[in-house]
Amino acid sequence: MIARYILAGSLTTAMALSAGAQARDREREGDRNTYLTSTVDTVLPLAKNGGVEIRLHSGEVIVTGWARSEVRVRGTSERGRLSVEGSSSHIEIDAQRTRGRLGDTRVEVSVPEGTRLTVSGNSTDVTVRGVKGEVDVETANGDVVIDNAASRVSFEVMSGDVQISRVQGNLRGEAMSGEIDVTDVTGEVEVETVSGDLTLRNVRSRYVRAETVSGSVEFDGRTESGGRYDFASHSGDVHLLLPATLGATISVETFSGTIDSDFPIELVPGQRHGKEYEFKVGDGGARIAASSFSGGIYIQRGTGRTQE
Amino acid sequence: MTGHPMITCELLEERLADWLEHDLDAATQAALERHAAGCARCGRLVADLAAIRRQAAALPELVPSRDLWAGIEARIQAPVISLEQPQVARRRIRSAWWMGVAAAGLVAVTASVTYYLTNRTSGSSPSVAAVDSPAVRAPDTSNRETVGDPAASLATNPGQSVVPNTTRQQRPSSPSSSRPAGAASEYDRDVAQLRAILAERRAELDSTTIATLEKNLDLIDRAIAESRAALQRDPASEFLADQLARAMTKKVAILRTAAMLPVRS
Repeated sequence: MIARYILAGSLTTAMALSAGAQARDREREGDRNTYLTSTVDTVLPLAKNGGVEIRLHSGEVIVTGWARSEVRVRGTSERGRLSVEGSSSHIEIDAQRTRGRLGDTRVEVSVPEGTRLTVSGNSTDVTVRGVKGEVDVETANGDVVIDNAASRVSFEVMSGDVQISRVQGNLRGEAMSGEIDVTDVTGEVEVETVSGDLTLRNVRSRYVRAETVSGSVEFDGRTESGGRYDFASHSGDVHLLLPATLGATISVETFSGTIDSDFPIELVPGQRHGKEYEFKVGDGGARIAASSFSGGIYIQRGTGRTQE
Repeated sequence: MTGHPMITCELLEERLADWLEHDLDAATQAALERHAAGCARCGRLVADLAAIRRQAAALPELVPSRDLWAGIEARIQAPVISLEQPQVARRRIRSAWWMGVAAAGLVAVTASVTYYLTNRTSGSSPSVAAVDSPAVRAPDTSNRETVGDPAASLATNPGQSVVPNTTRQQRPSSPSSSRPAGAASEYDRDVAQLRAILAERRAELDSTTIATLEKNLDLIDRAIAESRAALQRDPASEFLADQLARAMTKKVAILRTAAMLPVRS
């Protein structure tokens, strides 16, 4: 199997480097199945549900799922070198320094649907589409787009916007600055940010937690009896667009903000700590908590496509 | 309550773990089984534990989303030092050392936060249930309600329903006793240490990262200050205590992230 990889890697790398000027950057490290080039265009086989790990410092990663049982890697590194190394179940793509320098790297990778994908970078934009498998993305500074994934999706971003859509599985992510936009997720959702807004649309889940410090939180989705839904901001507003047929026990709390609800609120007497209310809608089956220290809390009856 | 002359309920509880692990001799095992069979309380306990074991065994295997150690090792591992580049080498050694310090600091801070938050809850006086009030329901003229001050709303909006609250609890005032001074100062000290690490690492991080960190730490510090000030005015508010705890936890998370960031290229 390893010999096949060497052959495949040799052929494709040789094709990619036929331009002569690039040949000087190509190295093979002894007997390891590793190829280091400034430009790479190679195809490697990967078993069903195999793993692909991509590590860049700065630049861009674009990963697309396809129906083939192989991985195609195309990339260029401005000053560093690209390493593609792997086995039939796991492939690693790395950007490595040349004489202490790295520069920007751009990598386009096609992976079999169902692949477990891990991408990490420092200043790296990451786009993942159609992988239909587990996706884990970490980048310090960069935008992240993940569309059509499954099983488990996680992200960690310091500065950059995050767009997540069509996830059939659990989603967990943290950002510091930047907006987090989540659409069409079926599974547990936990998202946090500090200074960005959180938007969750068409989420169908038994567990949702969305928390930000200075941003706003917007939720538009279904709730399930017995499900738990927590939304919190320190200084931003919390907007909930809930089904007209809602059955939930809702608690809302704010210190200095306002509360506005389409659903009738049954006030609880004797409270003196800011504004705290708990009220029941329908059968009260779901538990919804919304809080903001100084922002408003707005609860509306939904009328859109997320209606039950 | 006791189903066997030699085995008591207390003894069964004491030996329960060994029993479940089959670490007892046959005679003791049989005696415990006889006791459980004849004692309703112990029988229920054993049946519950057996059910939990069965359910736990049926759970799918949990697989971590990524190998955390690989990432940590890559970041704290001492690099190979070239003799031709003494200045670079010195800097990298210091980076690795700081990573080690950061890792140790993270453990301390995590422990401090846990200690702080745990003590904040457990250190306060026992909760007392809020006094129930009779339900008052007046004709509801509108579904939509905009609520400002709760007391004012209660007084001026007769259309709203007022129901007794038997689920919420009101804690008695506990201004400073709820925050153990030792844990608080430990938290502050650990945060200061992590800030010092961050200051040392400034040269290793790019300007965008530093700007993002500073901006967000400022936001969180503001949130902490606001929550603290509000809590001082209203020490019994669980909501404000939660707000403060959230902000403090978030601050530690950010400092931890900063301490573990890779160096710029």
